[in-house]
Amino acid sequence: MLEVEIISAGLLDTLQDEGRPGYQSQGVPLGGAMDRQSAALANQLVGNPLRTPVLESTLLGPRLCFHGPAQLALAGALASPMLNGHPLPRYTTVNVPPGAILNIGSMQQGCRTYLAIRGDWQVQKWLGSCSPPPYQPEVLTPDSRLQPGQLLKIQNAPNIEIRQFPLQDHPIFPKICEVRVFPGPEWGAFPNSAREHFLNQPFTLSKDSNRMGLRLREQLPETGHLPGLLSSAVLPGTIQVPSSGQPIILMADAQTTGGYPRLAQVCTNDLPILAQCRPGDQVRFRLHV
Amino acid sequence: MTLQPFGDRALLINWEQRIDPELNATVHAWKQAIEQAAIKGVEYSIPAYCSLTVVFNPLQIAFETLAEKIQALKIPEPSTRHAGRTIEIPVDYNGADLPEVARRTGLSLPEIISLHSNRPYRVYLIGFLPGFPYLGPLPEALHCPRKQTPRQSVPAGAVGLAGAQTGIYPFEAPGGWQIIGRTLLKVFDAQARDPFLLRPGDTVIFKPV
Repeated sequence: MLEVEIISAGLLDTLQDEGRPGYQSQGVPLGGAMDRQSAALANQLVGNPLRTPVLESTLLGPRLCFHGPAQLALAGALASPMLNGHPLPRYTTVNVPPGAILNIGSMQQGCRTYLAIRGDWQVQKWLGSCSPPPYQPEVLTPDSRLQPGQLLKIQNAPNIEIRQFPLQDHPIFPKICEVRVFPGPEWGAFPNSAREHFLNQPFTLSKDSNRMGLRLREQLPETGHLPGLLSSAVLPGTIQVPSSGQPIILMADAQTTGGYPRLAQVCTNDLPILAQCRPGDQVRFRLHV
Repeated sequence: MTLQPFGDRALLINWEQRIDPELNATVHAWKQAIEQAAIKGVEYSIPAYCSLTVVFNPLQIAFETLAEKIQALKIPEPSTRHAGRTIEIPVDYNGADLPEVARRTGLSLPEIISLHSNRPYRVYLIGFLPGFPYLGPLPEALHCPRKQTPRQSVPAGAVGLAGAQTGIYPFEAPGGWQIIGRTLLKVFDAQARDPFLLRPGDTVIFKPV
């Protein structure tokens, strides 16, 4: 059994997988990795099944000690990870000697890195997932919010051949990004002025953004008196507009129903771009046709 | 009943937009029929008052194919669902938004309490948070809009109003409902074998304490 010790934690280090599809009719958020593409890539690089947990770090990552030999891979936001004081290549399988210290460090571009470690993770799950729900996570998934001194236990699997993701294909997460959207169920209820503003102006991510939703600072015009909506389903990627007029993009840990009009729905393939946006970054929306 | 795409991996079925026990029973009948049909590519669905959102994997089924399969299903006449349990919920009417609710409705505090309590509410759906019951119908005099900006934190057990709806926060969470009171009864107990106190179709009666 491989043991990985958390020496010091970053800003928000959680174990994430593919979440809890199927429990949404009971109000349970989907959960799982914010940037599912990077999480899947990291797992692929170490030959893990895609449902295997990965370590999601936000803006500043942790320092870890590997108490045995391991294979790991790092994907997602651009950081300067160090292994025993030497730069660690990203987007490739890395063989780690026993006693190695990994420092993920701070992210220079993008918001979240994903660390995959080869093997079968021994973590407590709730409703089939280790993803910490936004409520009572310490009770439901006690292993999944990393704390200094904590030991991650991973049942080793035989090493695989080194895999690499070519440099030219590494995703880049610029400070100004564009995502494609579909009209949401209430698109037609918004005045033209609000829809045009939404598609033509950049929006800035507020610091109140988190895994539940990304709040945007700018206000849409003429949204103060939209007709009320009887609560209906919302999904990761739903852009809802409360009467303040400031849009909220719902993300992995979002609620399952809501009563604010749903202006748009982000293209599923573009959700990872949003997951990598940092507070202060700008996003533009383009109608997907 | 209309079917429309909701992004690239969900199908939204809407009925007439009103709160009605019969209509809500129809929504659940369709949810059940879609589940029983076990259509390949369907991942999960989210029922609400008068809508049903079906989430699918677009690599396994196209929206048009799914829409055709759903429309071909036969739904039994919605017989009134069996009477659920009746659960009394003690409430301390001391919520932070009572003044705002009083201002918006023109009612006094005792009027708000007497209108809200001691009447049966149907649990239409569980949503927004695990175990959060959407209850109604709410007397029209109590209807008032959500908070203009949602709160970052609402305490566990908070009883709130939003439009024609009333509900209970199962644990501390962000939210935009007008908070009028609080109960100490747990509507969600994560560690219990059945974490959910209430089910759709149950009846809730608030008792002032």
